[in-house]
Amino acid sequence: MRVTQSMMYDAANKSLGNEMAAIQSVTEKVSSSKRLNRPSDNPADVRSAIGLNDTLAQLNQFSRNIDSATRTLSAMDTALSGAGDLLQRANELAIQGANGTLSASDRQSIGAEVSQLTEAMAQAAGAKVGDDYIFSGYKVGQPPYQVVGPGQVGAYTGDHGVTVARIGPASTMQVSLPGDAVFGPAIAALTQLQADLNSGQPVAQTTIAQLSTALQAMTQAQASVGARENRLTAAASSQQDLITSNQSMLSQLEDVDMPSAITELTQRQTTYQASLAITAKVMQSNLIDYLR
Amino acid sequence: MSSPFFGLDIGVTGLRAAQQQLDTAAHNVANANTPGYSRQRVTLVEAPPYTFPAFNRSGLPGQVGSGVSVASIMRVRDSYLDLQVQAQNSLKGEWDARQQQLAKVEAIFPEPSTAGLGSVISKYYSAWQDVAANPTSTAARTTLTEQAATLALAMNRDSTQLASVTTGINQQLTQQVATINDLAKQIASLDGQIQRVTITGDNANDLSDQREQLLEQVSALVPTTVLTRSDGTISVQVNGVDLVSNVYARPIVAATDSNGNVIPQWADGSPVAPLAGQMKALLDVRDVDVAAYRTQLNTLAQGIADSTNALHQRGVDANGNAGQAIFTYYAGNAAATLAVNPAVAADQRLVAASGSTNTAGDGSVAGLIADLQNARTYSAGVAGTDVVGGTNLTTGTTARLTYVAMDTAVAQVYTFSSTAPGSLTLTGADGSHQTITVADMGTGAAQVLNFDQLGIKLNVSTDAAAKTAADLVTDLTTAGHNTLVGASVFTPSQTSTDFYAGLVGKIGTASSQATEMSANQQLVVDQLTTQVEQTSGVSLDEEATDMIKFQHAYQAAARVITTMDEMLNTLINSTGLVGRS
Repeated sequence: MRVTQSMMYDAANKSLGNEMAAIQSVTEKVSSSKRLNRPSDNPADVRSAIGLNDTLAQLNQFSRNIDSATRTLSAMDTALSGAGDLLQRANELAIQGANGTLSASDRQSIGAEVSQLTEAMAQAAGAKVGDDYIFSGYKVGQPPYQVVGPGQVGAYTGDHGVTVARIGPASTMQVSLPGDAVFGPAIAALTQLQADLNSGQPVAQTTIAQLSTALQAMTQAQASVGARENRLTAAASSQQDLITSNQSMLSQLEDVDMPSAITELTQRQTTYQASLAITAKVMQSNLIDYLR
Repeated sequence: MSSPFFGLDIGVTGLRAAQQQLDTAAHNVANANTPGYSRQRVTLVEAPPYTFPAFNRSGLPGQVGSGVSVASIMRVRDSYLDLQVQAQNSLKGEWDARQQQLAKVEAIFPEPSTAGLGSVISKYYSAWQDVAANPTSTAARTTLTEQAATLALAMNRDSTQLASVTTGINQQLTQQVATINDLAKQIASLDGQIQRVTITGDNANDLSDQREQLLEQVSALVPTTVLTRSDGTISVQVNGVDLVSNVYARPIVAATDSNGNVIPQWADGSPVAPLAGQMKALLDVRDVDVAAYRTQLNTLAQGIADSTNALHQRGVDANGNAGQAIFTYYAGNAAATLAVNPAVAADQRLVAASGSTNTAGDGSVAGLIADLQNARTYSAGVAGTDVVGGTNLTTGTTARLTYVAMDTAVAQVYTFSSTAPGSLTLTGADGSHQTITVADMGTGAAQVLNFDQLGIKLNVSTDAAAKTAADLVTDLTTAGHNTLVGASVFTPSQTSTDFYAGLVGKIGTASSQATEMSANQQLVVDQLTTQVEQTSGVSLDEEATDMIKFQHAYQAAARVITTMDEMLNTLINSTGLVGRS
């Protein structure tokens, strides 16, 4: 093969250029610590990374949704537990009022306390998160029950709108609890108890049974809210697991393997320096140097 | 007997030949680094010997050599290699230009990142989820309108940048047309000179080298077919049409079409349509690749805007009015013109999160829009009666569909029917159907009607009154109501993130292919260039050896003349002086 000087210069230029390009590429990876810096770096992996980024954004959003639902449920829990206490007290008063030895005026004074309890029950139903009434269904702008007179509570003014929290991929949970299902029986029972007491007659057994049913409904609702809070806690922790595993998948796709990248960089630099040394030697001489 | 001066003449031919060879060596050394230069060699032949056989030839013995003569000065060149270099150079030009342009396209979509369009889309849908979770929150609604504006701006930005790639290509095409015309003129002018040299019987070495250089430059832009004629001129054809022929260059015109795109044409208006080269790459990237990316970006913008608008317009805003469109755009150029409806942008109360009036806490419509993030298709509504949110299905009933998720459902019209009390059949226009059993429902209870095989889920809730399964079936199957109309967000059915990731994947694949092919083609051209250099390149070592060789030949020829001179001196000055001095 015939070799000319300019072939050697060209070859030297090209190989030095290639070495430099390789060093530049590894340097970019090391300094950005990402192996995917543009779509062409690995189109298939970049596609997956976009999908994973979206999944992560959604998982983080689910966590936010869970936090928001948890706030509502814990407010419900507090309100229901307060309402339960009110019913317990009402039950004690009812049993007291059923005692035949009490005078009519004694019963009426108990009735005054029950009237307070009834109003307190309406207030408990008016629990809020932020500016929203949580037992009014969709009609969050107005309280579910309003006190219309001493011991007198109006009809349920909310609706049965179902609020759904998106707590996971394709997983939803009902957050709302319409007030009439929970507070409706309680207020009805309290109103009946007031009527019984104010009549001056011993409290009817049916009224006591009504109170006990209302208390049962209240307890059930509280249990249901508690179960949902537990489900949210479980969802939050599984969400966190998913976030961690997705992040590690994303990191495997995107992040550069530092030790191997730095090793590669060192290798490239060594090759480059060897190329420089050899090029410098070869290009120095030709026949003319030796002709006198 | 030959003349005593004959030897002097022979010596002179040797001197001349050696001097010519040294001159050529000097020319070679001087041009050692001239691009496209082919080393030249002096072809020597023996001078015609004396005497020719003839009747009246002299009686001398044999034929007497009469020295050397310079037959020609040739360049050492393999013209077959030149054709290969030109052909491969066209391919290299094509992949290089493609790679450069696609790198620009790729820079518009800097994925994976938390700043690209992909993440803007995620944040947009997240904002809807926040509104769904807190429909009364002013902050959530304001964030939503801002995220929608950010999405629109990101679409505008990416679309504008794609358009600027097209503009850049048009400018480059105009320049390329000018360059090709200039090169063609130079080739034609060289051809004229080469023709004059060739018909006088000489070799136009240096002019031919220059012409090959120009042909190589043209071939990087457009592929050429080169035919050489006997008079030394060439015809250069691009896709079968003469660019240079008979020492005349035929110019290309940079015409502009109705879109402002530059179309390289011949003078008669027919397109140049090169089959390779930088010009083809630019035309392809502009008319095929970038055009497709712009269309897909438009589809993405339009898909998000249409699906959001369709659901939003069936919602109810905080003022109790029907939802307006969230996004506006001009059809055909959706990505560039996408904008948030100014009324909604100015007033967050116009975000229609609710399914019915006077239900501030209802975020069901916002939730449906948020679900679009993972939806391949969406319910575009119900013929006759609104299916989303609080509108009653039939007058006087209180059953309603609160939630429609269409996962893999085909976009078509679905109808409810019932064959038995408590059983509900959902049939698609294509005949696909599924029957499910419906249970009784209590007050306020929600039931999910799950048409799994059709990929449709309906959340049904009752208001106030408990409903039996039979009631619910009656509600849902009442004639003229409750026909689900599905629409695909994108065709074929896929989520917006899938669609966007697909677009970025396509750009990445095209760009990485161009980068690889450009590097491969560089290797092929390098290989051929090395072969050309092996044949035609100047080796300084070779020339130094030759110079010594020629110098010695020159010295020897001079010595011959000196010897002859001494001979003649003897003859002229010393002859006839026998014994005298």
